Amino acid sequence: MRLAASLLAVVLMLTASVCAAAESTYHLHPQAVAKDTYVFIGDTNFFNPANGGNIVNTGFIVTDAGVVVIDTGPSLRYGQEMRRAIAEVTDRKVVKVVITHSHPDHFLGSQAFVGEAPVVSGAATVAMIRDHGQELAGNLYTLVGDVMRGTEPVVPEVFDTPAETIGGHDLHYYFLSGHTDSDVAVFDRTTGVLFTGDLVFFRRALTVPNANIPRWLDSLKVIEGIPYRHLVPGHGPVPSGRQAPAETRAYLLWIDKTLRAAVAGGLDITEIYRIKIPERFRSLAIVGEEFQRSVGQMVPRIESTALPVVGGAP
Amino acid sequence: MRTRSLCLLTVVGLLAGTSLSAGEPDPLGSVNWEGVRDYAFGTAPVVFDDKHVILDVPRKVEDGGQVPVAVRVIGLGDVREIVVLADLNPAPRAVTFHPLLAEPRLAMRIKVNEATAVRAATLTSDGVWHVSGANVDAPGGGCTTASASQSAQSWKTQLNRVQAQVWHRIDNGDRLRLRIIHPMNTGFVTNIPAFFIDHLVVKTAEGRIVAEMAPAEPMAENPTITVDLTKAGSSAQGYVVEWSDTDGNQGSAKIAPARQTLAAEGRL
Repeated sequence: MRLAASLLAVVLMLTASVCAAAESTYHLHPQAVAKDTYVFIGDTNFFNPANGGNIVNTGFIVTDAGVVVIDTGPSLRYGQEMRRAIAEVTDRKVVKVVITHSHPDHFLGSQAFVGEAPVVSGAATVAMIRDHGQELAGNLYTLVGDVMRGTEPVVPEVFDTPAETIGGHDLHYYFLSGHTDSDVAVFDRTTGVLFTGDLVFFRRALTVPNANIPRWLDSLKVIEGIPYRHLVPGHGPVPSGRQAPAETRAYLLWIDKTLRAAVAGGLDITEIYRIKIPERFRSLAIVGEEFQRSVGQMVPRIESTALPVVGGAP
Repeated sequence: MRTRSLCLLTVVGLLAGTSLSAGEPDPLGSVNWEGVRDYAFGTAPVVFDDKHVILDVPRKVEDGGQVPVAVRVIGLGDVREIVVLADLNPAPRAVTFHPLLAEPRLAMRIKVNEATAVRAATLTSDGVWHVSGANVDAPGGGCTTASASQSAQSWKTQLNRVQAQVWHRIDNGDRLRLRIIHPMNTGFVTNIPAFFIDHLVVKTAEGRIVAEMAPAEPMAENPTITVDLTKAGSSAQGYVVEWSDTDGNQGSAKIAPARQTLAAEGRL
């Protein structure tokens, strides 16, 4: 009898711990970067079941009129846990959710905010999520697994407001592009915090599945012209100085130049995979893995214009 | 007791497996190896040989529609034919390549319909197939979703556009890289019939055939192919490529002779 009781106790304990684990998958802890401003810093690895897709930085600004959320993470569960973590900082309502761009780790938590606040983004992001949101969610499900359960894409509303004041915070929105067809950067002039989305990566190799490198380089110039005091990159830690955009630019210039030279020099993609990454980039998180992915994405695009047309339709 | 009978069962199973399958067991453990072997090689002898048949393919891909594959055969003498296969594709054979006056190597991109063993096989003059391969992890649907140009309808205006360039390989023959706009529809997508380039030859400008291949359903959309010619197969006058597809469309294009030297990957 006593044995049965202690067994029951063990079973109950196990159940409790399993439930607790289910309640907090991502263990999100808001990190303060400035007054009223918090970020959730994600893993710098690629998507995997262990990180549940949390490879992303999201954030929020607590204003007198309510909370402004920047990006919502990779899954419904992330969005819900993010919402709970925000509630531990403030009991104010969320009044606006800004999605920086259409990559799945940045917008698939939006369901957790529907009904509470409008979810907004740039026109090209809205079109991409409307037309391909299900595919993007499906791909991520394949990569990270069951933690995605219940996740459905939320199509944001298009917004193009250049600036507004919310609860004493002077917010400026920069409608840029280059990492994708629409990348919104959010600058809070009141605190000096700039959320760059994935236009800036820091100490983490960048990703290029939808990149337009000339436009990305132009956007980096705009970012460097913003008088920010703290920069929150899309991936990687929050830097203490202003060096992050230059780091992103250096890698972009290198990979673009190198892959173009490789195609112009006659190399096949399987040979290009073997190009050595220069010493100065080797400390970037998962640079080996991301270089391989970037080669696979960029080389066919470069080939489509670099190889001379010799016949058939012009 | 229960453990012992399980062990016995396993032993019996292994013995049965050995006696049923002719030849060596598949080092990749593919469930479709025997089917693919019979389909591709019939009753010809097959050896697993990754010392002489070098297959370069990523172990994991995000886009099953564009999987880079390079095959190199070294030290086997006279190579008659090279075949690239993906075991679990609805049609496994991606290409049959006759090197003729080309080096026994070929690079291209293929479609895989799911995670699968990808193999390269080469037939030597003694009638033996030498096979090597690797397991490639891939998302589903590489052969059973519409090609990008099919979806965008862009192939209709660009069909048969050819892009090509030739480079000198130092102390060696020429390298030819070729890209032909073609949707390469597999026929495994509802309401989109099979439509792919199934024959391609490379000739010197003087008209000598130096390489020939038969692409098939799994060759990726807009085939992008790299062929290295031997010195004997190279021409200072340039080349002509000719091809035809399953609808009977034919095309040909002249390619200017090499003007620059192939880059070395280590120098980039």
